[in-house]
Amino acid sequence: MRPIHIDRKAELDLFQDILEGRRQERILLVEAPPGRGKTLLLLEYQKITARAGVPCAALDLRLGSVGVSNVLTTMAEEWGWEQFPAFRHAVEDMLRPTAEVSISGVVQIGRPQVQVVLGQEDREVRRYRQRLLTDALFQDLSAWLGRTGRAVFFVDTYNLGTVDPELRDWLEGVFLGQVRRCEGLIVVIAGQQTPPPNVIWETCCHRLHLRPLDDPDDWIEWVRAANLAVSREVVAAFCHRYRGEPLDIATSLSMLQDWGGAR
Amino acid sequence: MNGPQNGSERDRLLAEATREFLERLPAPLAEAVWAAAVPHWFDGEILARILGIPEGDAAARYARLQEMPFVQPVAGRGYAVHELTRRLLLDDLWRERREAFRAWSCRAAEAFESRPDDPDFLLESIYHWLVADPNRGADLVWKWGAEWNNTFQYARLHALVQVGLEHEEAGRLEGRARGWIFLWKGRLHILYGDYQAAQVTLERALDAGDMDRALKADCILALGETHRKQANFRIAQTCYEEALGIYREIGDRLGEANSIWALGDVFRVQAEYKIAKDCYEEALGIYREMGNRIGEANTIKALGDIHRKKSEYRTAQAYYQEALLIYQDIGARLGEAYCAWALGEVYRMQESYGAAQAYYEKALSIYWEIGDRMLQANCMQALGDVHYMMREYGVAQTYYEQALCIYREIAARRGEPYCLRALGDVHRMLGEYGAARGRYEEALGIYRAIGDRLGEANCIQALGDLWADQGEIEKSLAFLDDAEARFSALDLPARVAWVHNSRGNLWHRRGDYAAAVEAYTRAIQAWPQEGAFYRNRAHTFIKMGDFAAAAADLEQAATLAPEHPDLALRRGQLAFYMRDYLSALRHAQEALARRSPFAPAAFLAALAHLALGDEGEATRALETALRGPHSKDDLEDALHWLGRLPETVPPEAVERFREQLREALSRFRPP
Repeated sequence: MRPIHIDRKAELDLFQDILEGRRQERILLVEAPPGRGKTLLLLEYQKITARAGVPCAALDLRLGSVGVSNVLTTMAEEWGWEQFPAFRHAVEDMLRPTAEVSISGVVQIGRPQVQVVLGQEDREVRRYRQRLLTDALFQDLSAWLGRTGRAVFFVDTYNLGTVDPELRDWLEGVFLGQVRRCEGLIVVIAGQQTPPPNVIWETCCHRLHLRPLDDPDDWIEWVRAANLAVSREVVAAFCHRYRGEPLDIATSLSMLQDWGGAR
Repeated sequence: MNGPQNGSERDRLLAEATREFLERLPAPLAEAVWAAAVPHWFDGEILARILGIPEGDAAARYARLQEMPFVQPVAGRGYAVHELTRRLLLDDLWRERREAFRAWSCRAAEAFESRPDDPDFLLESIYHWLVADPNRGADLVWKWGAEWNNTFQYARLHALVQVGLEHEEAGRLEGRARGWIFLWKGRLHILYGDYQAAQVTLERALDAGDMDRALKADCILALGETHRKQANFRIAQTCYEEALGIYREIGDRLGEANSIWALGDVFRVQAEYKIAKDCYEEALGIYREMGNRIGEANTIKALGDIHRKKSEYRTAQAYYQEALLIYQDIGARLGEAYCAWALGEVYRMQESYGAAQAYYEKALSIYWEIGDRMLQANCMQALGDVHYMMREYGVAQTYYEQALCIYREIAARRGEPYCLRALGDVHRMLGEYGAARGRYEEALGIYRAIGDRLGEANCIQALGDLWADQGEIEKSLAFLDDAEARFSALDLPARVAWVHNSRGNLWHRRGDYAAAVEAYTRAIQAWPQEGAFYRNRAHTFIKMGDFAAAAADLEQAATLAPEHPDLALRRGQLAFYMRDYLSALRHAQEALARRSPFAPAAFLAALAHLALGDEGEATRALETALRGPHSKDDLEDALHWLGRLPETVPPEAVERFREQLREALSRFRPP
């Protein structure tokens, strides 16, 4: 894999500042057309997070069946169910058929149980339960972050046309609203169209539009790493032809590499 | 490659670059790129299976793929060809090498099928079957769509539709596979309340899958649902009947039952109860035969609804009880809550307020648990009504205020004015006339704003009653005349009759009994099936001493509502005035058995005991009545009845009762 965002220093510095608390924003929305390098930038952010020893979790919405329950359980699974007692308790409560029956110690709360309690026929019931579970999860998150300081949650492939509408409503309303109130939690969402401005969390949010990489200097390190013998002028011509679109430039420059012999 | 399909400049340039890139690769590596583009993600094992070679042999190619500029890591899964490059590659592959596409898709489908417990693998497998074997893909879309729809896993259903639409947009989806994808897309539109989009999508499903009878039936059934949701009942009925015919033809018993049940719903909302009932009973038989318990419970509940609408409360009650037990058995909380609420309604209509209260409270607790704010508010409002009828005005006020808060919070514009008017009634009963007027006027403003003419007329009548309570006869009559005109314009004779009844009450309390009788008579003429008008006129006849006329009216009232507690009360009062104290006591006790607390009956029982010489029991009964909720009118009536006691009652006992009643009246403030 070629790191085609290699010269995205400004974007990397921005994340570093957010991670280290030098900026007040904790929601970073990365927006760009396909092939601009969003996924690879997020991977780079994850490496920075890991190097800083900060816990992180990631979810890729390209993998089909992602709903609200997947977002909640991904955080619990990655950061440890034991950190989320209120969340587990809320799920237990919803699983309990009557007030007289206790399921404590009988059912291990995990991804399937969350799926069950959020799998409700009535839309209002689903929304209410989503809100309750989100409140409980963030109550636990706040307590946990009080001890650990920071954590980062990454969401990739956020495209309005393909994301489940219910997940989109929840993510743009309930979830990001809670993120704003949850000190220490950083959320990065990347996609072709990121969530629209929202009065609740906009002040806590930075919107990053990935620019095209149309300056040949952006590509010098990449060309060196790919071991390509091309001049700056050739790179400049490619940048111009492909209007700075990284996927296109990288694909065409890679033609110049020896992959084992042309047919 | 001949160039991208969608024709954009960006696509054209990238397609050229990718084509040239592939041409410079060794053939086996280029083939691996094509194969890797088929799935949404791959790892070494999946790549080897798609290529049809051992994993060890594919390892080197897998490693080289990871170095390519359009290959990206996918967390926890492996790698993926970038979506843009992938789309361009697949467009070419479909156009130039369709058989290879199908063969690789078939191997991919089998590879992803190996982990059916993981929904992403299952979806990916279905995605590939849709191309490799469209019929098998269609069957899987039907099967898993139904499974996820029935278990409310809508995120998965959405994902299923998305994978199908990806093929559809690229022109790779055909026949019934296309039809089933559109069916589920249409169903999702219904779920999100977008009925127009649902209809367009379902029509496309019908066009796509005309050979698949089950698909056609499901589409028409779903189309019926969109029409029913938009109150186009006749079209909905036609759809359901057409779907039913197909289900019968193909022997799909569940589809048959669902269509008949849906037809029942259409007839029920149009008040065609007889046909609706027949439909529900037929559907019920099939659900029972199939052991489909949720269908059984839903149908029994619907039968309860029909009988409730027809005021056949005891039959409705039996159906709701039966449905309730099934819902409890299968853990369907919404159905359980609905039945509890409906039982509250039927008990309330039968004036069994204690039972109604218990069921409403049960429904409320479930709605709290599952978090449905609107239904919580509806239950609170109903509980307010029950406590109001039990003259527990403080409790009623609390419930109405809580319901009002929720209605305002969720912007339920019809619930809000109902609660305001009910709160006005509570204030009126407490003698807080200024507060009552404020509430009525606030409700009136909202009804006007939302264009609810019935609500508006009800508020105007309530204001007329309020002025009557304050002795403002001219103002009261003006409001009542206005209300009558409005109800007449709405062609609501029952409501017009209640306005005449209000006038009757006004004249009765003013002591103008002739005018009262005339007003009640008009009420009876306008709506002869209401027992309350006969009971009220009987009350006036009793005051006039026309016991025969009163008895005749009570006989007539008994034919309309034989178990009404007010009937027993009026019979008791008539007996008391006729100095038949034993009958008076029996009727008062009957009234108390039917409604408790019931202050006028309690006072009557106390005085009947006194008349019968049981001073101890009379004293206890009076104290109980005074401790319970009662109105100023109840006390004044009881004072009036003291004058009808027999001479055998010791005067000091009469005086003691009079003092207690006067004292209560002087510090009158209802609980």
